[in-house]
Formats: sequence, C-alpha cells, structure tokens
Amino acid sequence: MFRYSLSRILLFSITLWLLSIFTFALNYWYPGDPLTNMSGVVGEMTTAYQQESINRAMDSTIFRQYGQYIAHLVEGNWGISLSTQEPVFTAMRHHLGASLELIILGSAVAIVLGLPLGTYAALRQRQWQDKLIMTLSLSTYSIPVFWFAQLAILLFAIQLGWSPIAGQIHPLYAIETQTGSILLDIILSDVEYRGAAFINALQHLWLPTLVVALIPLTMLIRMIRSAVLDTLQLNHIKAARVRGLSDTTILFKHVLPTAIQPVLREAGLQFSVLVTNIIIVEVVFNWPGLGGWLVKSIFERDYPVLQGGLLCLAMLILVANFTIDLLHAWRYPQTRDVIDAD
Amino acid sequence: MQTKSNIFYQFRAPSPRQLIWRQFNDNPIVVTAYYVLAIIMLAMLFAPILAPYSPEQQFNDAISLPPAWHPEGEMRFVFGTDDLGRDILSRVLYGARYSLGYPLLATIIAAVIGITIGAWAGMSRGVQSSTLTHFLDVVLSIPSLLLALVIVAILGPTLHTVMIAITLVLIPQFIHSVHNAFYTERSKEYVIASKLNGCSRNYLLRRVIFPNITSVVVIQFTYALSTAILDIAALGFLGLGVQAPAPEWGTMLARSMEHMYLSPWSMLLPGVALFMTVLTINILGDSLHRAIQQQDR
Repeated sequence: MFRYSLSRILLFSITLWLLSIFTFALNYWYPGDPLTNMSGVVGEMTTAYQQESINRAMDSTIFRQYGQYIAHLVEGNWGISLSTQEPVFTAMRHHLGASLELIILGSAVAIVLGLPLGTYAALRQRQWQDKLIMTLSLSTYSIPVFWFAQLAILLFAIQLGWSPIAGQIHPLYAIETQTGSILLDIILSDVEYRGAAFINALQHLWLPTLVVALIPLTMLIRMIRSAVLDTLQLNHIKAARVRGLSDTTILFKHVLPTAIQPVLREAGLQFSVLVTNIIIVEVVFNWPGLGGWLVKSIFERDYPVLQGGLLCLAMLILVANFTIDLLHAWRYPQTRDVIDAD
Repeated sequence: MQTKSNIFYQFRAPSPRQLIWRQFNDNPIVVTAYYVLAIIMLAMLFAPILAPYSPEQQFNDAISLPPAWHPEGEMRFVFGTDDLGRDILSRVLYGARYSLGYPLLATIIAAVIGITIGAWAGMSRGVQSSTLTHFLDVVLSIPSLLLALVIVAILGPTLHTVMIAITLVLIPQFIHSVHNAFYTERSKEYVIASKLNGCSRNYLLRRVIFPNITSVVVIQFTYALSTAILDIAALGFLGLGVQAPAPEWGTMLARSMEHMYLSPWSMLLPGVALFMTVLTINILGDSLHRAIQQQDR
C-alpha cells in the first residue's frame, strides 16, 4: 500500500504540475497582455501595473515568470477579476461551495437510487422489469442535459409550479454568504426565519439536483447491472448457494461487496461527466457555482476568472480521481499488485 | 447454413460481417434505430429540397405561431414559428448539417489522426509508451466540454474554432483506446508468429493487428460521434459555439429558453431531433458492441 500510495502521489503531483504549465501557457495564448490576463491589473502606465510587473518578474526569463506564477498561486493570490475587481480566490471559494453542494447532493441521489435499481435489474435479467429499466436508462443517457433541464423547468416550474425557475434562494431571505453552499449558510446564519429560509432553499434545490443526478444515475445502473451479472457467475457465489445460504445473505454478504469493486473504479471516471453536466445545469438554473462563473467569464473575456475556474474544476476532478484510486487500492489489495507490475 | 447456389449441398460459415448483420436484424429496436438514423441522414443531405422555406426567411405576419395542431396554428407552418417568424421545421432540417454533419466530419478527422498516433504509440515500448499513457490519462480526466470551452476562449466563438476544438478534444480518446487495444493484441501468439515469419512493421500494423481491433475502433467511433454532437450542441447552447443566424439545434434551444413562457413549442422539435439522433447512435453503438462481443466468444 505504501509503495502504491507513493506512486499515486507522484503521478498526482506530476499531473498538477502539467496542469499549472498549461494554465500558465494559456495566459500567453489568450488575446491581450499576458500580465493583465494573469493578474487582472489593467493599464500599462499605472503604478499598480508596474508593481505587479516587478512582482511577477515579467522582464525576466520565462522560467522565473513561471516560478513567480506558481508562488502567487500557492499564496492564494489568483489575481483580481477584470469585470468585478474582486479577488478571484475569495470569489472562487463561494462558487466552489455552491457547486460542491450540487455535486454531492446529485451523486448522493444517484447512488441511493442507482444501487438498488441496478441490482434489481440484474436479478430480474431478461424479464420485463430488467428490460424496462435498461430501456429507460439508455434513453435518458442520450438526453442532452440542457434540453432535459428545460423540459424539467417547463413541467415542474411553469406548468405545475412546484419549484421556482432559477436561483438558489428567494432574495427576500437575506442570507449572508459564508461557504457558498446555501443549506450550510442558512444553518450557520443566526437569523430568526431560518426554518422558512431552509424550506425555500430546498424548493429551489431539488430540481437542479434531480437534473444533475439523472445521467450519473443511468450510468451507475448500467455499471452495477453488468457487475452484478458478472459476479453471479463466480465460483464463490456457487459455493455459497451450495452451502444453503439464503438469497438475501448471498446478495448482501457475497455478491454486492464483490460487484462494487469494478463499479467504484468506473464511477471515478464518470466524475468528469458529472462535472460537464454541472457546468450546463448551473447556466440553465442560474446557480451561482463554478460552471456558470466560468462560462460568464468567457463571455466577458475575464481571463483571471477563467483561469481560476479552470484550475478549480480540473483540480476537483483530479482530486476526486486520486481519492477514488487510493480508496480502491485500500479496499481491494489485489489491484495494487497489478499497478506495481507495470 | 445451407445454400443451394450449387448443385451440391454445402455448409458455408457466414462471414463475420454477416453474423453481425444477423444479430442486428434479430432486435426490432435496433432495426428501428437504424432506419431512423438513415432518415435523419437523408433529411440532412436533402434539406434544401425537403424544407418548405429558407431557414432564415422571416414571416412578419406569423411571429411565434404555435404548431399546426394547436387551434391558433396554421397548416403552412407545421411545427410553428419562432420569435422572429422563422419556420421551425425548415430550421431543424437545415440545422442537421451543423448538429450532425459537422460532428461527423470532426469525428472522422479525429479518428484518422488519433488512430495513426495510437497505432504508432501502441507499437512503441518503454518510457515513450508509459509517458504517453499517463499523459493521456490526465487529458482524458478533464471533461471534453471544459477543454473545448478553453479552446473557444482562446480562438473566439465561430464555426471554425468550434470544429477545431471538438476535433482536438476527440483525438486523445481515439489515441487512448487504440493504444490500449494494440497493447493487448501485441503480445498475442498470432502476432508473434507473423513477426517470426519476418513481416515488416508496416504489414504487422495494417494487415495483422488492425483487423483484430476493428471492434474497438467502431465502438470508439460511435462514442466519439455522440460526444461530438452533444458537445457542439452544448457549446451552441451556451452561446459559445455556432453563432446566431445559423440554425444549429443547441443555439435554437438556447433561444427558445428565453421564450419559455410564451412559446414552449419552439424547444420541442430541436430537442427531439437532438435526442433522437444521439439515441439512435447510442443504440447502434451499443448493439454493435454486443454483437461483436458475442462473436468473440
């Protein structure tokens, strides 16, 4: 495990390094002045610009510039936004909170619904229940997420009026932003209408969560179904049957723990699909998360913000993959040897 | 299978292609998907003949007209008109070029480049190969839409840049799958045997290994095509893809979103078209995958 973790950590740091080189190079590829793109300081002749130019070693070699760039990133000095003049790093923390809220709730819904549905489909293989679940999951897998979000708004928000169209909470509830995640903010705040605000936030939250959860859910159902089917063929299940164990014991003690293993690995790869959907869903629902922030920054040519959003989203995915890799190797030791062998 | 083409009865084993075709024909859903996709393709090619109006023609007397089955609808605009009085059906038919034709083109270009690099990488060994694998793992872990967004931010949103972005994003996927397939095939006995026979590297690549990895290529191709369609539509939806007057399906959906209260029908047809295209491609890819898998057994 130690060797495995070490190799993974090494790989992870190389990846981060490549990512930082990529974002550093982007500043030179974007139209406009590299220093402005990097730091958000405008105006060639101003004192602030010249100060920043010295700080970031702009008249020195490209390697010194890169070193200064990394130093600034590590210090949390990610420049200021060109459109709002706010520091990118503090703004990013709030947007990250809002995005994480959707990601965590969405994947929780996907896991809670996907695990039983996938298992059920596998146990009813080739019967109508299985066919129904698989057809539904294949067709929902093909729905463009923005169209699905529109249909959901049209049905639930406009026709039925069960939820508001967009946003995080009604602006009447003046909740101070601390973490960015609206539910946490309400719990942390000390206003007396906390209960009402919480209910209002939930009304805003449930629709985007369901839309976000849909595609990971269908993926998960398919993965779990095939994993359970593969596991049912294995010898130790046959042995358990021969010993006369009941169906539920076999399912929960023998089938599921084995079937989860390949699913865990693939689910890590599916995380990037989830992030793609988050970007679009946040734009449709006007959710103040990283995705909407990033897309808005492209429109406004706000390069410091674009860099912040890109770094943050990419790091989120890399950290998630890294964690799942380690978790996988910790729970299932046989995978460590395979990687060690290469 | 017995055939009577000869006076002698003889057993003829069906070719792999015939086997796959038979597997296809067994499933009515797959056959339907096949024909639906064929119809969409034909509609794309013959849009100028089929479409009743030009996609950019505006009818001032028919702004935001509902579809024909609605009491206020008119028969000349079967699926209604949008907020500028343009016929939605004509726009969707012409839009197939942007939403299906261009992704197809991008996928083909990406496939040619990606398979070449992947095959070359699959034949190389050692540091070269492992560096590439790790590097590709990194690139692939970042979602294709995010990469495309960054490329569009550098080059600006036009049709050309979107095409470049989508092609560039798809190439690593092809390299990855082809590289992995080559890697596993390379150490099999039949490859070693032909190597011992003194086949050149080029012959080994084209005639020995490549026919055995077609399944991987085909599956990757359908997967990449549906990714390309969805990504181009998503970029259009975000306003960063194909620009306004062009009748791209994603752009049309973005526009319909602003008029959701007044004219909800304007998002019906582009969405259905997009959904049907991606669904049929996914079903075909899925069943192709299953047919090839069954054959391998």
